[in-house]
Amino acid sequence: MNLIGLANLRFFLTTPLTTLTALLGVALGVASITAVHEIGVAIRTSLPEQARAYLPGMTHFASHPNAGMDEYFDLRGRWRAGEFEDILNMSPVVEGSVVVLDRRVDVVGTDWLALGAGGVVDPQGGSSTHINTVMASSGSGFKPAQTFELSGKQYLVRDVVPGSAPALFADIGTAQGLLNRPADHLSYIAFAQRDVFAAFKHLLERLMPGISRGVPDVTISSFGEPWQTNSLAEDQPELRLGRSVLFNLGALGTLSLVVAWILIYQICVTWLRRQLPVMQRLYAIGVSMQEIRGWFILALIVLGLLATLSGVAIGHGLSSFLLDQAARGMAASAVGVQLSGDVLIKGTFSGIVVFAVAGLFAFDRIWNARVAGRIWPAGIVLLLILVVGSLSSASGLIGGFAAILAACLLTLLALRPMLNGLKRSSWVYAGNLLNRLAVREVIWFQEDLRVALGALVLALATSIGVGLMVDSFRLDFERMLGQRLGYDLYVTSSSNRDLTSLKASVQNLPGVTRSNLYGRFELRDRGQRIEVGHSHFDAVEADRYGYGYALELDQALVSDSFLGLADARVGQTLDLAGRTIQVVGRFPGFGDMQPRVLIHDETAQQMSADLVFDRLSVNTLADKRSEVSTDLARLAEDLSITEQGAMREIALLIFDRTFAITRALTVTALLVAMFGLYNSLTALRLNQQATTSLLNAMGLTRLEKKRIDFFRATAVAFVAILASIPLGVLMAWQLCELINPRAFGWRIDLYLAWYPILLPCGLGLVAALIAGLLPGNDSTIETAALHGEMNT
Amino acid sequence: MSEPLVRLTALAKAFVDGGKPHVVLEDFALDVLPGEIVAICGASGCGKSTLLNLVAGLIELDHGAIDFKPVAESTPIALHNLSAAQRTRVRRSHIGVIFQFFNLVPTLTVRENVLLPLQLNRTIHKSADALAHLVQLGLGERFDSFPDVLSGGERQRVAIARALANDPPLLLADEPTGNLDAEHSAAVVDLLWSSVRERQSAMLIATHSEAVAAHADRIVQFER
Repeated sequence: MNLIGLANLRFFLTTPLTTLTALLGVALGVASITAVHEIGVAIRTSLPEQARAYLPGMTHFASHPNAGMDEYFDLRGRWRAGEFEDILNMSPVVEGSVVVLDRRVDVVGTDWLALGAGGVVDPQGGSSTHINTVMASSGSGFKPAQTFELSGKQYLVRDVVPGSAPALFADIGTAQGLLNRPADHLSYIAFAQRDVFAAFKHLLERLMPGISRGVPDVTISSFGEPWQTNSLAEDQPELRLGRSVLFNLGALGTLSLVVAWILIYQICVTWLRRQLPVMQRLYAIGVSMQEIRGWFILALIVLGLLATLSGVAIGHGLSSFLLDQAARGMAASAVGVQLSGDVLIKGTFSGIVVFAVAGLFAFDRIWNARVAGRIWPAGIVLLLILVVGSLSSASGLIGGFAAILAACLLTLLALRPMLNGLKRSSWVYAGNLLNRLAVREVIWFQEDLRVALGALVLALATSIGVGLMVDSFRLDFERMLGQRLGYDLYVTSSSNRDLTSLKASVQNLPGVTRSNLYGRFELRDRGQRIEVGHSHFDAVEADRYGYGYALELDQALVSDSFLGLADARVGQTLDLAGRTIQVVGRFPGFGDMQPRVLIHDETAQQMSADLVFDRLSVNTLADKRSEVSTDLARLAEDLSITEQGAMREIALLIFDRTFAITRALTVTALLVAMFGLYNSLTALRLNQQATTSLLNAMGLTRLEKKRIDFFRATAVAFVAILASIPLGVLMAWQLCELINPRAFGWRIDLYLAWYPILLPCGLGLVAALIAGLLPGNDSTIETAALHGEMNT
Repeated sequence: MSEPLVRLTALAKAFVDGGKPHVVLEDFALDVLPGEIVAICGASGCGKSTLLNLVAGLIELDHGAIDFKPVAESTPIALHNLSAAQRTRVRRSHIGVIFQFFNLVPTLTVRENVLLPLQLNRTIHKSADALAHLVQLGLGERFDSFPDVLSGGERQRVAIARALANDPPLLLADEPTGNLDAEHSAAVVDLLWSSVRERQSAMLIATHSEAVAAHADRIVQFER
């Protein structure tokens, strides 16, 4: 065997603990990358099931309030003549909802032939609709060959197609008839827009599922005034919410990727520093630098391969566990994860390629004793990105996350001047001399520690930032639940039927103090679907949304996302589908799929002819709740009755399980940083071996040596905490004020609670202490292996 | 004749090298009297440093006895029967050590380096004497300097002050001038000798320099 290779191998074997922890560190880094990727893929896989799939291939839509079929044919003619080059296909759509057999169902009519294969109605595949025949979704409750009458016309359900949302699919004319719309009526034109970034987005999605959500949309073809064009994905609220969640996860995953890569670089630096004396001796006796470097990189690749294999296995297990936990919370079946080629490539890239490249980079810097360049030009660029990404909402999600990444990198850049500043004033530190010595070692010999310190700072700041955001979110969410769940029982029907007739019977039940009916319908405003909720909004009902007065005619309470869409403020009047509405209050609307407007029943009746009240709330005397619940269940078999306490519990459980994934990922990042820190502290202690020997000769006891280790680790944790608290608080602010409004349309009030700050700091201190107090570094074997000789 | 400060009896020490024992010391005996300066001379690898490490309690004996009798103790301390922790306590309170390199803690100032043994022994009240000695050695202006800005000669002078700060009855010096040129070496030897004589300490000094050894009361020559 080649003697240089043998020397390398022996180095790893004679320092088993540091080799093992380095392996574990890289493996955990790869594991977090694998877990984030697989969770992202699992969420993405489940999304198409939630999205409306009746317009296959279509990407955008164009609409205006008085759109007609003649305009569609005019546009289609111009498209056929080659006017809109980037449009690949187009089809007219008539859409709305109607009450059939006491149930509200969506109606969709389009030119199924123009849509082509893959739709719910596929004329070329043998399924077609004719005049006054419809296809029904399985969620609508209709059976094949069932007939129903609406506005004096008979309709036939030709077949039932999969789909949980209650919907009827028909041709244009039949849909117009079902919706009682004129023959020229058109809701919008769906079209397929050529996306020049499609290949790039596809590649991004393979690298980090969900991250392409942050890439700006293509420029949409303009049909001229008065047409408004929008993305269909943006119009599908479930899909939009899912993608936003996915993007947030992907962006957090990118942060854990950065932490893992920093750690890998740190390990390269540490090992290189430890082997440098041996390498220099080899160089002195005539071994070429290329040969030394080659063997060093080869050793890293071998270790990287082992770390990758174990990391992918750990990550796969972690993602399965977390998804299973999240599914349990939502009483849903767990989404299966499969080990894909993409994740293997990504894991291999991080564990082997990044390891090798980081090794080459470290070798170049340390062998050639390169001094780091000036940092202020990079600092100015990062500061600009931070300011623009934070202040410009036009920069979107990608701008928000670029601002977070810029803040992280700025903090890492600031570590060097910060440590230098501490070093300059280090002679003034008072206290026990051994404590002084330990603290100064951390500050003075920062080359051994700075990278690992950076990883710890990032891990801590992410943990603080995400923790503060989740804590603030939970507080707002709990407050909202407290307001919204201001009733004792909540009643729905399994067939979504109208419950107006039930209300009178409920009101007469003994123990009932109040009951209220709720209904909702959708309308399209400013090119987007708006959910309009209506009820008898007296002062008590309005108080559930933070408004203490009864709603009057044409007054509305609106969600944050609606305010953003309409660019309006509370107190303003605005046009809503042709009616002038005064906004008298706002509410956060967490979890709302689309912008919401709440109005009084009277206003609703003037906006929509057919209202369905499919939900009912009931307040009872405190000691009569269970009796009322039993009496309610006797009134009708199809009623579903939920107690307020149970709803609150379920809502909070879902919340906690959802964010358990995020918390688990931040803890993993902290663990990865801990392993990096262990390696760095080991390097520091070995580099300070001469000092240790001197102290030993002066009669330092084992306890006093541990005391130095303790204070050294505490100093590392202190510096990391010092840098990570401001970064973490800034990150929390960015998540609450930039990311959430841009991704979901709602903002969260940031609460600076002590718990989400102190817990990560405590964990960081524990991680640093474990890394600092773990044995192995001062064993005779490792010392002998380092020095390679024993003075006699 | 007074009782010896250190009595070494039939010392033996071997290191395992390539799976085979390499004998460094065998049946070695020596008495060091209070206030006596003994030079240990010999070629590299002959066991000078091993002897000092054994006396300091830094490494364990294979065979033999090391009895240490400071004035403050009524009976001799049998170093060979003590645990590593007990030897450490003896070393910190009764023995001063000076090496060829790495004599100072780089992250402590000159003043802090000298006060460190006092703090370890909880005798910080003696700091005025220790710092006064530092002034005598010509380092009065260097109290707040860190070791990296000192010359080699200055560092060894601080090391002498540090080793003597605790007034140890025994000083162990391993090639203290090996890293210095002839001029600085002579100056350091003068200071070391005068400081040791002044305090009535004994000293075991390992050196391969005949000029240094010539100042000793006795020379023990080691052979390979």
